[in-house]
Amino acid sequence: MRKLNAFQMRLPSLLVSLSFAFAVLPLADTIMAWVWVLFACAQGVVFAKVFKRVPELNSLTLNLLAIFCMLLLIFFAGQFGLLSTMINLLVVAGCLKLITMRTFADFHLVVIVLIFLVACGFIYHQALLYALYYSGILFATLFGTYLLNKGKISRKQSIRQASKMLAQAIPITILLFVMVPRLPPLWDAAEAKSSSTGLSESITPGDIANLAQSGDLAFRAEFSGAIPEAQDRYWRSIVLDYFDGKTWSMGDEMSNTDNTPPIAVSGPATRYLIIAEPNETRWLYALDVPIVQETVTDKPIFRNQSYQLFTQEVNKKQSLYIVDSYLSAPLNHFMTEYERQRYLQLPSESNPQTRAFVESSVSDEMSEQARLKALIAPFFEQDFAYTLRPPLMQDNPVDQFLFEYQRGFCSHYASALTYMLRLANVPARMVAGYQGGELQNDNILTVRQYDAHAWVEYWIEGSGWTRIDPTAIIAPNRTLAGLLSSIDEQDSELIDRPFTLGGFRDVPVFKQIRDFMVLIDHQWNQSVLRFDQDSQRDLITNLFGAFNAKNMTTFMFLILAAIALFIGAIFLPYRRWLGREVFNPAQSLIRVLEKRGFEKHRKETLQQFIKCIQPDLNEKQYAFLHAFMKRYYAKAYEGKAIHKKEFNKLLKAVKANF
Amino acid sequence: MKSIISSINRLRNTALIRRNHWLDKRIPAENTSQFNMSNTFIFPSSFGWAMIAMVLFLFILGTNYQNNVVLGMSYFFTAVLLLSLFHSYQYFTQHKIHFKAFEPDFENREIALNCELSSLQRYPGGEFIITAYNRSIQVPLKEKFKKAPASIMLPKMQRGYHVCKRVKVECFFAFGLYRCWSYLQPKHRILVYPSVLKAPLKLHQINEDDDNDLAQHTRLTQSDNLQGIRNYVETDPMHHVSWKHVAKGQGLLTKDFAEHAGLMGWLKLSDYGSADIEQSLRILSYQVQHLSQEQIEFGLDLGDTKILPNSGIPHLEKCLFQLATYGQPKLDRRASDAKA
Repeated sequence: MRKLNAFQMRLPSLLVSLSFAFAVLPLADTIMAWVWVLFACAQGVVFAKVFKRVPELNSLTLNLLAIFCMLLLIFFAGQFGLLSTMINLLVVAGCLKLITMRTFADFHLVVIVLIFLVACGFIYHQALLYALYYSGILFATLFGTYLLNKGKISRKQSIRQASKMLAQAIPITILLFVMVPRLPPLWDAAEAKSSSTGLSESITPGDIANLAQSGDLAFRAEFSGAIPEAQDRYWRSIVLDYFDGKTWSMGDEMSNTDNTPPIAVSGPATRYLIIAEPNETRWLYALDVPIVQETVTDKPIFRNQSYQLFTQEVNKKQSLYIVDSYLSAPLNHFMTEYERQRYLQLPSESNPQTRAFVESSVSDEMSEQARLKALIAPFFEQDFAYTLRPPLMQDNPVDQFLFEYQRGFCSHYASALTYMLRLANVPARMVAGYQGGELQNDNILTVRQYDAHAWVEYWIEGSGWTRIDPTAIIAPNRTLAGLLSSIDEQDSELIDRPFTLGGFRDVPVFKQIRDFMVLIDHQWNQSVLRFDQDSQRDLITNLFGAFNAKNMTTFMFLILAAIALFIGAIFLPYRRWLGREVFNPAQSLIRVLEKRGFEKHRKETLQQFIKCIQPDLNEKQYAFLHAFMKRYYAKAYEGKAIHKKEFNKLLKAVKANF
Repeated sequence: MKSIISSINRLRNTALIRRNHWLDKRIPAENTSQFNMSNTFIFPSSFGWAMIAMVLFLFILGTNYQNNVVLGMSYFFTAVLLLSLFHSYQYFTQHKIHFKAFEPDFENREIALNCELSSLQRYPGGEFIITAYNRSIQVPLKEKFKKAPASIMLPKMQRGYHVCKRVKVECFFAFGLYRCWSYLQPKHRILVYPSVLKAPLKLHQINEDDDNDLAQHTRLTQSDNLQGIRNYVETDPMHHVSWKHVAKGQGLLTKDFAEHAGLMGWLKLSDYGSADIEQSLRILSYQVQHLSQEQIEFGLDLGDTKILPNSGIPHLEKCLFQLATYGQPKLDRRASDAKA
């Protein structure tokens, strides 16, 4: 067991314990209080050891402490999940080892624990800044392990050496990243607890307890004229018409590509270009009533009877298209009896309280408008709240939401209202999309994932589909000024804002910086985080023209060859090989001497070298070497023309005499 | 239980013997070795194995969570492991080790194994661990050096002319992921003289017959030439005191003899009995040194080996060498190699 001495240990242990601390910080939520205490103790012990001489703890005390910690962990394991118990276990193990760091093995164990922790951190956080942060930690850790074997060289030199070696690993990492085939999950991984917004083809309001809001870009819109007011910017994307009591989903006929029905529009048109980011669905975005003028990318865009825009395949790449929207045109088209039935569909026997409430507040002679008014009255009168952390509502979610908790976010409100309207015999549907967006300048609007929204449309005989946004009743700011203004402070933690610079939001320079960072972050998202089987396939198709087993194999071999070439470039003594071709008398002499066991130090001159080995030589040998050297210097520095033959003769004599 | 342990030990011993036999063929004894393909071993250290397991674990974790960053980490450590393999090997093989000759010494004294590491300087610094006879030292290397000396104190050895056991030279450069090592055997031998044991001197004068040796001895010590008179020292024998001067009231003075000066004789092993041959050799070891200090010419008779009377340091060394190797299988002319 290699022991560490106090001198060797100082800097590496300081580095590793600091890295450990920094690696633990992002996981702060999952770490139990008593582990924090242990953590603080471990850090204290390391610092004390580095700056002072401290007697080692006796091993009995430590073993007892370890057993005590394990018992505590087991005791608390039930309350925490498996993953967080594992993280706590790692932190405890790391802390205990930090306290007793005596041998190389102890040190290496801490390093391994640290790498584990970083990996756990990456499961929770993958943004670019986190990646950079963790890379810093990993570098410090590996540098610490380098220091253990550094010998007697300066810190500067060792930093240079270690960075060089680690930097060499980066190209190989990238090549491997591109080459190694992506596998599907080997078994079901535990899902992370929160869900993030963005759109999906079904919505189950009651299931999501934490709505983590992503600041990723959804799309940009460039208007040719004035941008509509915030309360008019309802970007339609998905229309949900089927409700099973818990989940809203869409019927199959929605994405029928056969008929894009012509629609009659009137009023002024608003023209804009949309640059939509890939979104893993087939649905695109537009304001009502949209007519697609042009698609810049080559895939066709269709529109169905619910005014949704969609493509034939999932949007893996950016889509660019120009749309004319007729904001003031009514959304009316003829409704068949079949469609009427679809928009009145109800799950049987669920949410009885809501049923009772609708029955008591609506009567047959009321108009659609009057029924709506009666149904949304509770939102005005009672104490409803808008929150991103609603309680779980799993049995009869609408009942629970309306009569028990009265807390929720947009899809809770939209779901409840649609359901009530249908109970009141008014055809209704839920629409999901984005609302609002942030003005970049006079005609560019960026819409982010946290702008995702859900609202309701109901059918009025004669005037068609009419939009009603129940969330706007509870949190009017949500529609007027965006999400950030309508939530309380606790909720705002959930929002992953893209590099907000607090009070500087309005300073143009910061805005530019922010936009630049957003762009980089976006690149990181696209090229690293979303790199998958399909990206690999696209890459191979681009390179070889087609994706098949043969091309895949060629691709992998090419990458492996590239890695081998790279390693060869670093390690093969090609300089010596290349040098052999030019005649250098000094080099040949040195090579001859090397073969006979006299090694020249890299920084020695020929003269110094010969002087250095003089004691080991007899007179004759020395005389020959001296003569050789004289002639070499005469040729090299005095410019005398001495023929190669002469050197070769002398070299022969040297060879004969050694 | 005992039998199991003993059989395990026996197995281990045979394995060790096999290994050494194989090593003798693969890496013959050499005083200067350049580390290269033929004498260098490389294998992941325990940390290296842990890292390999880590890479696999990260790969599974990354695949299961479909997390590209974790996968990237896994690839990064794969790359580090791969590069580290070459760096370790190149670092190790840029070095050369030179073993210096052992200084002969006596039993129950520690002998130093001195060696020198030198490098071609592609990588600065680094640290070597040299292990000989289960004793290790760490040799940290400097940024700029030509030769780094290292010295290990070997455990006490019995008298004899020993072959040095294999010396393990290893390093964990750069991140401790790989262990690069070599088992080297210095050609130099370790010469251990018998330790000294004081005993009365028995010296046979040349041409004297064996049966008279005791009488001869007495005569020898008494017939020394008187060189002069000097002040008495407590250790002087009483019979050397010049009583004439005492009687004259001039205080205690000692007759100073030119002891043994100009004399020569034979030391014989047979004089000291054969009950404990080691003991006898130790006595001879003392006497040989003593006589040499007094610059008396003497010969050494060990039965089958005889060294003709002579004096001086080379003679002493010859005698001590014979005493050290007494009773051991005869050696070739390596004896001179050891001193060369």
